[in-house]
Amino acid sequence: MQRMRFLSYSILLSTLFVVPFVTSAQTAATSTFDVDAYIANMKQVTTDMMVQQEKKFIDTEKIRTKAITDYLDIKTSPQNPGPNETIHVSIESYLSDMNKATIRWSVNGKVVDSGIGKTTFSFKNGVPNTTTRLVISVTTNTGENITKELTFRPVDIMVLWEADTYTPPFYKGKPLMTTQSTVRIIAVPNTTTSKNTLDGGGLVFEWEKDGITTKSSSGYNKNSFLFEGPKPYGEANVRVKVSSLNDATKSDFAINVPLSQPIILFYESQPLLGVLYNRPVDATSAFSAKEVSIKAEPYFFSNETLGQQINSYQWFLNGKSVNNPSRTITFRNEKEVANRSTVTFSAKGVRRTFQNVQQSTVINFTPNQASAPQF
Amino acid sequence: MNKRTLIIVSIAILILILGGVGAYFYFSQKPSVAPEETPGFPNDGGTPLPPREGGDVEPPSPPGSGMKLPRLYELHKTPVAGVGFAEIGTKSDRSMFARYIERGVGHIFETNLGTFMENRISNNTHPGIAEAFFGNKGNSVIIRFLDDKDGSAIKTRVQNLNAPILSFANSDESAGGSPSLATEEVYLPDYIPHMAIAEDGADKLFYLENSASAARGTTANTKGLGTSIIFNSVFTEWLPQFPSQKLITLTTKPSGDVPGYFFFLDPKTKTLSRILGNINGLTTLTNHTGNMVLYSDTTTKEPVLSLYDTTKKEFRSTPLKTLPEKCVWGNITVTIAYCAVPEQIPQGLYPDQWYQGVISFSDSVWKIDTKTGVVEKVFTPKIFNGHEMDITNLALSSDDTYLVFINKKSSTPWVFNLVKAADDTGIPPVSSEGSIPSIF
Repeated sequence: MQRMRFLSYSILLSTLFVVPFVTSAQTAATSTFDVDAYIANMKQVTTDMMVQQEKKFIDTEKIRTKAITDYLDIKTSPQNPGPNETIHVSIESYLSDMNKATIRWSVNGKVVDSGIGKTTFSFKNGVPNTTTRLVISVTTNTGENITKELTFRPVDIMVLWEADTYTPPFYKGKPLMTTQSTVRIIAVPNTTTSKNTLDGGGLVFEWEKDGITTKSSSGYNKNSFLFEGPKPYGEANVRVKVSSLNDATKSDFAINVPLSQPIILFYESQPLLGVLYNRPVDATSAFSAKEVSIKAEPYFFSNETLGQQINSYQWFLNGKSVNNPSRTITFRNEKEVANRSTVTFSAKGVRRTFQNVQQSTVINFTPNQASAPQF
Repeated sequence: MNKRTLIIVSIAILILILGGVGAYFYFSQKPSVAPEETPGFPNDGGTPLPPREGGDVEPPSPPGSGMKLPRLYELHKTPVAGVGFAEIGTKSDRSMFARYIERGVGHIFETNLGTFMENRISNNTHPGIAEAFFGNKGNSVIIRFLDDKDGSAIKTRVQNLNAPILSFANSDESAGGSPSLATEEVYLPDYIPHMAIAEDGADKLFYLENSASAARGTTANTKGLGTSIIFNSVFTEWLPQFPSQKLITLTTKPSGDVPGYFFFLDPKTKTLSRILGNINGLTTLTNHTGNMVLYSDTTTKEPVLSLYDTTKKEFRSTPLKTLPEKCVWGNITVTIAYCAVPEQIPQGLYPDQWYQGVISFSDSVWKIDTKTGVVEKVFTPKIFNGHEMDITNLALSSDDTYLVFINKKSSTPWVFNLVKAADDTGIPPVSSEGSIPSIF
């Protein structure tokens, strides 16, 4: 820039000295030459030219500064950070060497970091519904001053999800997502108090599954998203972008729904006490009664729908299949023979074929009263 | 009538009077025995009883004998679905009773904690009660069961224990025991997934109802009247607690690897406030004033018990590893909690596998003073009577002197007297268990 300015002044000065002589040579033959007036005139011309040239320089400088400002590449990671999330910011320019620039980073009016070539900066985003202002001030090595401001007003959302999978009645644990099960995610903006509902809070939700935006599920106040769980060893890769109508607040969230395996547990069922969920039947369980009922509980298989067969069940006794469509099976002691019998229960999804578990247990009949179990 | 006859008649009358008085005193001290109390559960087909680890423990003195009562006592020998307290009499002449409902037939019993005499107070029959909650100062019990005749629908009834039945034919009464109480049964809606009854003795309950993609919460009294919908949610997996009539808490259903959230719901204003969140395997227990919350975090694959002060918004860790479901808050000293703490915690997914019954604990009971930060062991059932107990459904009497609970291994109810008598040597001193009070 300085070189260019020097070149311009040189041209101007040369014009000042050369042009009068040329002009005087032309005019001397025709009229009397007023040197003083001429010099005054030329001074004025020169000044005007210099001003114009200076203006041109200033305009050029402005254009250049504007260009650098406009094309300053600012990258934030994550793009729409959530509350209290660490934000990584980096700048880059193809018009000026940022490694030689003096860069100052200010958060909410306070300079937090500065230095030559300080092109990256990290800071913590504010709490929900507060604005955090990040000002990046750059003085290039050629003297341009650039200022950029970013504001972050995060939305805090609480992500809840529920899988439409089976758990026994009165079970207090969460039904888990298993392969191919139906899952509903609900994103609830966190306001300190929300009266009576857990709704979308007047925000716009953009749901993305495996990198593809699901337009039918996205939109104003659409804070729930239904999807099918992944295939075995897959991942439920769901993201939601939440923003206000005027884009003043926005955040982007990746939602992690862990994939679990369906399990089968056996419980003793007694006529009066009901199913004894306090302890599953295992190889250490011993029965001396004439009749023993066992209930198989297929935890986290897809829930049954009325009038539609979702899962198929099969019992086996010592490897031989038993015709019993129910999840409860009863064994009676008809002969007094001590026995250890292997009971197997197989559950399989009719459509969701990856939901497929076979579980065995040993039924121990005590010697005194036991016999080979007969179905 | 000659003199001899007169003497014989007089002696006979005297003998009859003395005999009558003696019989009266004899029978008045004998507890009424219900057929269900006999060992062995009356089930068809001879199905064995579930193992009763604690069932063989006999008190050192028989109930009503006037001898010193044991501090730790098994109240009933067959499985129960819920346990609570009731008080009878004025403050100066008050008797404390533990009440519990049999799981198999639904009969309600009470034991006078001053004598350990047990009476059946209701013989309404309800087989297969899955869970029960005592409330309304012990005068109501919510019973919940599956109705296989109705497509395995979850049914919920409130049994209100009213005035004693005055009947000359009542055998219990003639035997000198407490008469049976008339019960009034109130039907609540079917398919209530979870519910809670006010823990401060108020006549209030809260229940949830779920549709395919929404939940709603309703308050009512134990008559099923005064219903008010106070909660609506697009999310359906909630576990409620009703610490006092002014506060309902809602915790998302937990799983060890899933972040959970915890809310306060004001029944009056219907305002929902988020209190805790993003905590894996979160389960909670709030004290009666709502300013202290015990919660567990399973991020480290163990249930680490912590405390949250809702007034100061302060988190405090405790040295204990247990689940809040194994704790109870004090009624008088609301900043004190008692927790059953597993002696060992095997590797697992908590609380999931404990709920499934896959993991069972052997507990000690600890006292947590949240004001002073002192944590100390109160007793270890295994050391005391040789039986391992997986303690759950804890409740404290209104004066904080008795702790009742259910041993999950046997589903039988137990009571522990927290006030140690001056001459009591029934329990090994805490120091002999190698426990030193610690401060958190």
